[in-house]
This record gives sequence, structure tokens and C-alpha cells, in this order.
Amino acid sequence: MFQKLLHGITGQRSEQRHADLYRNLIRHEARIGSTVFGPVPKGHRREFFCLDARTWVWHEEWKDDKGKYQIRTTRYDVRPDGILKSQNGHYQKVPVAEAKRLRQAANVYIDRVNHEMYNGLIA
Amino acid sequence: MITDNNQERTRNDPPEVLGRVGLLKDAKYYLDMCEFEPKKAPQIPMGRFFKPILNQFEAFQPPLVPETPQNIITPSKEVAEYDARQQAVTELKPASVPVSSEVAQYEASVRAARQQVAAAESEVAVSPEVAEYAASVGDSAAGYVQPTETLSSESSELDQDAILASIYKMHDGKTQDGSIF
Repeated sequence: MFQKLLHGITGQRSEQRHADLYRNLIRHEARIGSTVFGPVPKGHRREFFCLDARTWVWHEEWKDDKGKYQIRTTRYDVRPDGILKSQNGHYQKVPVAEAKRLRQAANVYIDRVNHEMYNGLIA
Repeated sequence: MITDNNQERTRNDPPEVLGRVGLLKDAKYYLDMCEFEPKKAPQIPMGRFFKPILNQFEAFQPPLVPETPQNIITPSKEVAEYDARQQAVTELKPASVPVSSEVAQYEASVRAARQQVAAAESEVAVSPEVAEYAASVGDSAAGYVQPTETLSSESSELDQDAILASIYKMHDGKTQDGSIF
């Protein structure tokens, strides 16, 4: 019984450890991704990362002129026939020019995390 | 766990790292495969396959159409005989039709009678009163009606205005509903 309980606790800890490691990898990628678009303005917090194979996230936080805290999270859903952008629950198709810039940014992102984190494992 | 051998690295790296690497490979693949640009029409090798065909079309000249289709149509024997008969019939003239002696004698008597009537009409004598009346009335006696001053254009316009006024109830040049007529 004790062995079973201990095994469950260690199993939960192992799963938790794996999940924490995965999240840390994403956080680190997001910091690298924040510099893909150039220097981040003062007072802004920016993250750009790959959430899953078909989803890219651009998260931005800042304070406006009135000192009010603003958060904007944009999700790009890559589909075979185009890219959909979701902001505050509203979906819209990404124009070709914006889709081209997103693909360029994603390629820079992949190249940088490949060299800075994964040592060229991404062929 | 960095070595020069990729297989060695994949064995030693943690599964979370390998998971992210595989995910990023997939993400790159999906972005490359995403067709967010309108497809371009395939480039057809015109010079190699289609240009000779197009040249043939351009060089093609339709045959000249004969102005008279009869020139190239040979009628059958029966049609040719029928056409010849029809041509002979249309070329027949009344003078060439032979008539019997009785008919010729009748036509000659008719012509002689007509000449006698014409000569008699020219020799009809009128009385002096009739001749004097005919000289006094001149051409009007023949029944011709000459135009008079009463049918001038002014009077006809007056008549038209009266007719129009009776129809449209004109007042000061305007119809009853106010529109300028």
C-alpha cells in the first residue's frame, strides 16, 4: 500500500516535472521569439511562440497613456488553405501580406531556437 | 548532451526537448504547405507543344467559296432537259405564235372598226351655243378645281387652334391641367 502510494506520488511528480520542463522550454522560446520583431518598446512585455504544430501565439502587455493595463493575445491558426487570426474570440482570415510576415517571423524564430536551444536538431 | 552525432544526441536528449523539436519541424512544414496565396496558373510550355498548333491555326486559310454554286453543280439529265424546256417556253413571243386564218381575219376587222370610230369622233360637230360656252369657261369647264384664297395657311392654323381648344379646353395657350401645350 505504501509502495503503491509512494509510486503514485513519484509518478505524479514525474509527470509534473515533465510538464514543468515542457513549459519552461516554451517560455524560453517565447523570450527568444519576442526579439524576432525587433526591440520591445519600454513598458511592454511581448511573447511570440509556437503553441502547437498549427498554432502560433503573439502576446503583448503594456500600459496605455492613461496608465491602464492592456493585454492583447493574438492566435494564428495555420490551415491548409490559409491562416486564421483570433483576437478576443473574433476570427478573421489573415491577409496575404500579414501571412507572409508571419511565415517569415516563424522561420526566424525556428532558426534562432534551433541554434540557441536545440543545437541544430531541427533540420 | 551535445555530440557530433545526431543519433547520439536524440538518444540522450530528454523527451520534452525531442517533443518540441518534432513539433517545430511540423510547424515549419505546415507553414510551408499553407497556400494563403492564390494559386498561379500553371505555366504551359507554349513553345514546345502548343505553338506549332497555334501556327497551324494562324496559317489556315479557308477555301474560296464560288460565287455561283451552279458552276460546281452538274444537273442530272432530266433536270437539264426540264431547264431547256422551261427556257424555250419563256422565250416564246406572241408574234411567233401561228394563228388560224379566221382569227387573223377577225383581228383585222376589229382594227378597222376601231379606226373608223376614232375618225368619226374627231368629226363630231357641236352647236354654236355649246362652242361659245366652252370658250367662255375655259379650263374650268373641264371640271378642274382651282385653289382659292380662302384655303390660306392662316385660316388653316385658326382652324387647328379651334380644334385643339375644343379638345384640350385651352385657356391662354395652356391646357386645363396647367401644362404648356
